[in-house]
Amino acid sequence: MRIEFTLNGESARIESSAETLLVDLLRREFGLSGARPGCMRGQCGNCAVLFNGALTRACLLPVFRLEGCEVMTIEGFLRTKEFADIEYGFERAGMDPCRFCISSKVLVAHSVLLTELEPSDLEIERATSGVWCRCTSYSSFVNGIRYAAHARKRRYNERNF
Amino acid sequence: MSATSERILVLAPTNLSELLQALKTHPDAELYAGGTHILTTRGTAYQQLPEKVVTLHKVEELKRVTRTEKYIEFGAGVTLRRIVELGPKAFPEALYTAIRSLGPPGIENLATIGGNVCVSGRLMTLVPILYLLECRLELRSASGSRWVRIGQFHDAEGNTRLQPGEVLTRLRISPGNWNRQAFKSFGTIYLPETNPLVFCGLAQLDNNVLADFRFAITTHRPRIVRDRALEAELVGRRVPLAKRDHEVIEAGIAGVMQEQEVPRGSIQHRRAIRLSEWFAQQLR
Repeated sequence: MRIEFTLNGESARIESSAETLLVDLLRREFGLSGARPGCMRGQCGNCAVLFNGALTRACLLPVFRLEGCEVMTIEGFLRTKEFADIEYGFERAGMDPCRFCISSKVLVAHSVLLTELEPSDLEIERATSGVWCRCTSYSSFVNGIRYAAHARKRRYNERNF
Repeated sequence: MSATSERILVLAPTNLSELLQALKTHPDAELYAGGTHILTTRGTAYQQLPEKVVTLHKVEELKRVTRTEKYIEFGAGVTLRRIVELGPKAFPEALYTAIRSLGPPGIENLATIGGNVCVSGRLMTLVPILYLLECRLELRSASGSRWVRIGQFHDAEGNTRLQPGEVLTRLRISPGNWNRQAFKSFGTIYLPETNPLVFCGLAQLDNNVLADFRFAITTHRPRIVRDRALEAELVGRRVPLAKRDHEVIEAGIAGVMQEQEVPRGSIQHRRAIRLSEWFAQQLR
C-alpha cells in the first residue's frame, strides 16, 4: 500500500506491505536505526518513537496506521531544543546508558516532561518501567529526568522574559 | 478507504456508517483498534496479521467521551491515555487505577478501552471493574444496534458474543457514589504461571452503614466471580465491620475462589483472602 506521513518534520511517501511494522520500515526504507527492534512484542520499550507527539512503540505500529500521521524518531529529536534539556539532565545525573537503549530512554524522559514539568515519583516510575534495559542505575535515570525538568523549566522561564 | 497489499486487505473507514458498511461487506474481517493485544500475542515476531483487517483508528465517533449527570460514555476507540488525561476525579477512581495498571505510557497511547473489553478467549484487566460499575455496551451493525450488559458480553470461554458484522461502539457506566474503591492486580493474564489475580471492590457508606457493597475477582480463567449473596449479607452492617463480618467475607472469598477452581492455600487464594481483608479494613 502507498502511504504518506510526516517523518522527523518532513513529508515521507512510501510503498510498503500494509503489515510491515514501523520499526522495520524505519530501518529498511529510511536508514533510521535509532528505534531498536528488541522483543518485537511491545514490552521491552527499545523501539520507542513519538507518534503524533506521544510516546509509542514502533513494533506495535503497522504501516496502515501511519497514513497522515507524524512520526519522530530519535534522529529527528536530536535536532530539537527539547533534546538539549534531556542531554543536560542525563549528563548532570551521570547517566550513561548503553547504545541499545539510549534513544528510548531519551524519548521516555521527554514524554514525562511533555505532560508534567514537576513529575511525581509515581509518574517517573511508570514511564521508566516501559524500558526494560537496566544498563544504567535506575536512580541516575530518575535523577536525569528531574535535572532535565529543571533545565526545561529554566528554558521556558527565560523565553517568557 | 481501503488498501490491499500482497496478502492482506485493510479497510480504514473514517466514520461510523463507513465502518458498518465495511463490516457488512466483510463480516469475517478482524477489527483492529490499538493493536496492543493483537500484536503482542503473535507467536513469533514476524507472524502475519489476519487477511482482512478493519482498522478503527480513523472513526471519529468511536473517540468521543460524553458525560451527563447519570452516566459517562466512552467511545470504544478512546485510548487509555485520553481517559487518564481526564483525571482521577472524572470517573470512578477504581477504574482510573485499573487503567493505569495496564502499562506504561507507550502502551496507554495506543491501547483502547473497547479493545480491552473485546479481547477474545480471556477477560482482560478492565472487565471486572467495568462489571462492578454495571457497564453497558452498545453493539452496532448495519442492521441496527443493541445494548448489552458487560456480564453478558463474554461466553464461558471468554469469547465475545459479537455477531458477524457487529462492532462495539460505546461503553456506558454509571459513576455512582462510591466512598471506598479498590483495585489491585497481580501477575499477567498472558502468563498463568504468574498467578494472575484481579480484585475490585466498591462500597458506599451512609452514616457508617454499608449502603452498597460489591466485589469481583478474576484469575487467568475467563470468568468473573462475584458473590451477590455475600454482598447482600453485608449491606446494612455498621463500619468498621465486626470480627464476625470479616469471617463472613473470608468464607465468601474462599467460596468464590473455589468457584474459580483455585486450590486452597495457593498464591492466588491467599492473595484474594488478604485483599478482601484489606478492603474490609478500608471500610471505616
